[in-house]
Amino acid sequence: MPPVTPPSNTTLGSVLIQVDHLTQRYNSDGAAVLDDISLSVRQGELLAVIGPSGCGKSTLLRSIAGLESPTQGQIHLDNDNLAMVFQYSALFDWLTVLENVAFSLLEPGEGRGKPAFKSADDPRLRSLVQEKLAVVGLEGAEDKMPNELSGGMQKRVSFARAIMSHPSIILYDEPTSGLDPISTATLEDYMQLLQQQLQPAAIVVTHQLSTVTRIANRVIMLDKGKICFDGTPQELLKCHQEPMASFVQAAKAV
Amino acid sequence: MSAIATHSSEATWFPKTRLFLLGIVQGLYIAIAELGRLASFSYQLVTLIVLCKVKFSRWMSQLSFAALSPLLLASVLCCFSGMVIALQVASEMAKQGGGTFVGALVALALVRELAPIMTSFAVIALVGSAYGAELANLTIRQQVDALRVMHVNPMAYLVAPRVIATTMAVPMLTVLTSVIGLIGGAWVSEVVASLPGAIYWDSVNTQLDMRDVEVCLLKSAVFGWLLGAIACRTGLNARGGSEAVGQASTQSVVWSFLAMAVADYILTNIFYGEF
Repeated sequence: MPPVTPPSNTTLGSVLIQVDHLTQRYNSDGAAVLDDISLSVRQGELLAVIGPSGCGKSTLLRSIAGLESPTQGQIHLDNDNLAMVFQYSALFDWLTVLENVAFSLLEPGEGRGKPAFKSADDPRLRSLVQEKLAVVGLEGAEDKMPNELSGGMQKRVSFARAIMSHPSIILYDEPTSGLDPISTATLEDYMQLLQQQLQPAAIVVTHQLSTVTRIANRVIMLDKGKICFDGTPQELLKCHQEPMASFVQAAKAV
Repeated sequence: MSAIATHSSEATWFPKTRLFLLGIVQGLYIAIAELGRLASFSYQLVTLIVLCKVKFSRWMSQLSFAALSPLLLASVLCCFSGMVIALQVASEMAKQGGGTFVGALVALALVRELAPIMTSFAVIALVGSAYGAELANLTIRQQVDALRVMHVNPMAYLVAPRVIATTMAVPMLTVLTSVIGLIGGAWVSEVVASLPGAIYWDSVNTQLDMRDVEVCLLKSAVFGWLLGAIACRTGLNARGGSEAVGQASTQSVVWSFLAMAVADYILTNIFYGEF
């Protein structure tokens, strides 16, 4: 996989995601899944979140997406134009690829006024969806059902759905898990392309070192609910402290 | 020795009684908590429906599933219920000169109790269990989360159309299955007790009040609401892997049966009870 130059930090815009002293517990007397986490992500920045399984990466993402209420602390998003690419794609089984990708335009959600399009049969909507599907290399798939697509293709549809509303914040929950190396590299390229075109504030939770080194311009590592590393991918690769060194070594071996 | 024996027996009796009482208290606590959650869930649903947040096309498509899939099972169950009641009473009553009451007995038993219950059983088995499994599947595969991220309320998008569908489907089916049960009863009365159809249907007409039909429809609607709400709530609360889908389906059936039994007693007491 050829290395891609991540965007320079000097081109980053204002802070779009601000997390202050976030603590997350699932049981009132249980251990904290996230323990006093503070971070910020700027416009155009792609932050990679790494760490061992169960360290709270997905919980952090779910909290930022508003799917979990923080036990303590605050999460401030500059605006609510947020999209999320889920680990298992989360495409709606009962809708076609076209209806999935166009979902945010057909169902605008609470407090967002009338839908931009009344019907999925609208030719203007079809051409918009075709445009997004072309970005992820899925031309002609708009009338297929999600179960007719491979796992990698479903991830790409999920990606197309996420970019349909031109989000200013994108959250990726292990977007490349379960994909072969070629599909992984392709998806990473799409993420990189999106960063360059839309300049969103993005957070990607991943176990893949390639995702971190190829497209992220900042990386944090979580361990036992706390941030134990915050720096650039280059700094991570040079770090000899534990648990970062073990992570890098294990990831390189994979 | 006897004093020691008595003391020992009391020592084992008290913890057992205490455990039993604690079990009852715990069971009551769980039941009341569940009831509270179901009431809160229902309140949210009513609010969404009143505020017209539910698309007509969405609940119409659910209505066709909720009304058509249990149609055959509910019809067969009610037909045999009517036939069994007629079989139990027709020949005996005809012998004792009470043949004119057979139709009334079958009609009252069916319309007041059996038709709503049997129809709801069929809807729970075929629709409630499917809703529980379907929503559990959507929940564990993060599709419900995907809706939330896109600011689409899963209660309005997924739950309300299903609950409206079951609330409408059960009364509609009950009307049909009551008629089928009455026809089954008429046929058995004629075959077993040689009771002419005219006498049977005259008896039905005379004894069956409009109020019975109204209560029957109300009961059916309440059962429909309960089974739809319970199935959807159980599905949305599913956690874990694929086994959660099966558990949600089973739990939705069990809780629906229990809720229906309790609601049936309360409604019967309100409309037909002495106190």
